Amino acid sequence: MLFNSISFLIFFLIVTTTYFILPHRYRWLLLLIASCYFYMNFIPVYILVLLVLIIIDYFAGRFIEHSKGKRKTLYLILSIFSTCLVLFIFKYFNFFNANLSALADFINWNYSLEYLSLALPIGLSFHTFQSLSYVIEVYKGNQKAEKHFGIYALYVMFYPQLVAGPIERPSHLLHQFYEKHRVDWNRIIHGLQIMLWGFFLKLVIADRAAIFVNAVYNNVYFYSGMPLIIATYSFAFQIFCDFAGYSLIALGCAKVMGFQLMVNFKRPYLSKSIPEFWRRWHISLSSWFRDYIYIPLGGNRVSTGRLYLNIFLVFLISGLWHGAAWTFVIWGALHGFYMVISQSTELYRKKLSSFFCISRFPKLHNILKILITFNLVAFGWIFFRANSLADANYIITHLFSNLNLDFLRASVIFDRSNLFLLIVFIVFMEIVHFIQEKKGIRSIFYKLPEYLRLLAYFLLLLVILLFGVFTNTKFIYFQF
Amino acid sequence: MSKNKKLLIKFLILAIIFLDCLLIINAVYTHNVLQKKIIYQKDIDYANFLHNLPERHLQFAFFGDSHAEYALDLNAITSSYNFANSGETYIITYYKLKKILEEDKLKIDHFFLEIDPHTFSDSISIGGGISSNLRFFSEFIPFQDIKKIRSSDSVIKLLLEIYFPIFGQGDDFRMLLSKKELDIQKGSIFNFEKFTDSDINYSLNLAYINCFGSKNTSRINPLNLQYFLKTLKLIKRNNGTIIFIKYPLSKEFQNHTIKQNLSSEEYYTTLFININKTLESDYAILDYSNLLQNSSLFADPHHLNFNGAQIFSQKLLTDLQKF
Repeated sequence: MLFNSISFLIFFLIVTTTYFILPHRYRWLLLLIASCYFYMNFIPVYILVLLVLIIIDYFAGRFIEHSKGKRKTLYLILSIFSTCLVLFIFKYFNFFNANLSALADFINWNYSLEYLSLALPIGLSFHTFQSLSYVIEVYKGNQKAEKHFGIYALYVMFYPQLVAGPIERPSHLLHQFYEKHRVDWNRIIHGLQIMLWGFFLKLVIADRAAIFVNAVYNNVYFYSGMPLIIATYSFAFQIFCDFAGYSLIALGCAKVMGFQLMVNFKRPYLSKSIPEFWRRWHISLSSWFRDYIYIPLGGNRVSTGRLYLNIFLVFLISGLWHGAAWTFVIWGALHGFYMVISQSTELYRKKLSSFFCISRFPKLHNILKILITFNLVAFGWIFFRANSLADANYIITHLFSNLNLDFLRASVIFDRSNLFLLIVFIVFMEIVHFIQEKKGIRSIFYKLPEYLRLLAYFLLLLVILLFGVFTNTKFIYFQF
Repeated sequence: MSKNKKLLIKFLILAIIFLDCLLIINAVYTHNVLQKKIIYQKDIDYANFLHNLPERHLQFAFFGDSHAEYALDLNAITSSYNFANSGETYIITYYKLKKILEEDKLKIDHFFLEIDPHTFSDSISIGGGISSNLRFFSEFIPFQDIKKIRSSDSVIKLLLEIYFPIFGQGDDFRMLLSKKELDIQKGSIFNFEKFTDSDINYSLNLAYINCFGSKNTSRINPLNLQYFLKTLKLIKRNNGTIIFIKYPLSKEFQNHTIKQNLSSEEYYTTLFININKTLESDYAILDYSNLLQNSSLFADPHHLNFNGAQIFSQKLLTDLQKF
């Protein structure tokens, strides 16, 4: 059941209405049943995989809390091992098998392990990380183990954030299931506003950009020059609007019922540096990696060389988290490289800016930094989206080979009006982001007369209905 | 009145106003914009043609997609009509033909059916060919059949597409500004471009993708083939003669498909095994794929332009004497 489907809207309406009608003590059960139903709409039998993981981590949490010393650590290791094992089997086994097989061929070693034909359970990478953060926080003593099995199960599979995040922390989410949420129309309207904006990003921008991106990236060898450039920039906006759109719909859904989820994106394409980009992009994941991999590796309290290695390793693993393919590993490594270069050259770049007097014009300087950061990120997206390393290599080596716009003349795929609409909507979105960055859009918006605010919602909904692409395209991050 | 009740009433009033506006926009779209689409214009042309026929009888009827739509100038061919439409699959052709023969009661002697190399490919057959313009197709395809063809879509989605065709089609409103009338002649429309005037390589790649999609798409979509065979049976039940026709393709396009290792031999062998099971050998074939070697006669690598259509139609007229 995709968020951008009529069946989800009906599901949301029924679940939310029933939630407020039911007495508080039964609400967790409603949400759990609804979440199970939501999950089973994808591949029903995989609910058993989720159930096994929930049981393991529920008991691991209880045992860790009541244990000390080596036994405590053992339960933690067992929990982490079993969770990671499930992730490895479903997501990484075939990738590692293929690479081992290639290596075996190279060294003439007789290797014949069969591939597994298992579909990836939806949202596996997300809810495993959410479960891991739970057991780790219980181990550290920051979180009491949840005694109520149903509430713990709901923490793992709360439907708004089950399949593509945000990856919540137990201290933020668990206690909310015990709170009594009343009907608060202001909160409900705010939640619906957030959802509306999420649908705009997904249906009007992301799915429209996907038309160009898929046409080019699925047939790269047929294109060179401007089509590749347009498709790459389109993908930069597609992936942002797709993922941020999903996160906003999830946030809005949860807010309507009274739950607060983490904000996952903060206008990342207005970042002035790569480190800033990662403080604004997929915040729940980057903070997870910071807290559970980067800091345990020593964080920034190590030597410079070790620091750079830690940063690089974290991004390499992050790349692998996104997908079992070398393109994702290279993408992660590229961002690791960006981060290291950014940190190590900060002083030199400041000196360079002073030398060229750019720092005397802060607005121009900021625009330059934003443009450079955006282009560095867009370049990285080539690896993220390309179907193979060979495709990525082709794209990079042919980006600037033919820069005329002749292809717009007789192209069904790069239909001029479609492209024009996409640009208009992206510009509109970025204007909204810019206002949000500077002043906060809510504070400005709520100063307007009520009839103007209603007109704005009306027009946004109309734009979604008239210009949305309703071909039920999946969210990109569902594959992770 | 409590705050909640006031809010609820306000919400209901706004919802009613919004729905009314949507209905008005939808009505404007349906009556003023949708009718300007080629598919509707051609339907009006057919209705006028049928109305002006002295008796409900045609000697030659042509069916297919854009290859047939652009290739034929039937003005010199009496008692003929070009029913082809861009992007038309045999799923659509079957139901259209059913309406023509059973509802319009048009008697047709010879049926010319397109069987070009891309005619049954998966990339042409997305959504059975009815993933867009569903409102138009719902006029002659029963809803039960639409549900089976578009089985991955919910009933609500299908109904919304039929009764609210405006959803997702906002950019069609630019057609309101368009004053140019479409020149349709006995069902054919003409393109005056030459693909040799632009980037030939780009045109070839685009044509290839449009026809055959990405590398792993299938050459013969099972649903499209199924309806093709149903079309053959329908024609036979109405005592029609079947002639399969391959339309001219530019030599550049044919070379390009060979370079991409696209084998037409296997494709046609499979196709004719299926045809022979239905028709035995009771059909004729007209193969014009290599007829025109001059690339300036093509609007793009696989569609004839106006000049190409003139030359091709003259040749066809000569060959039609035997029928």
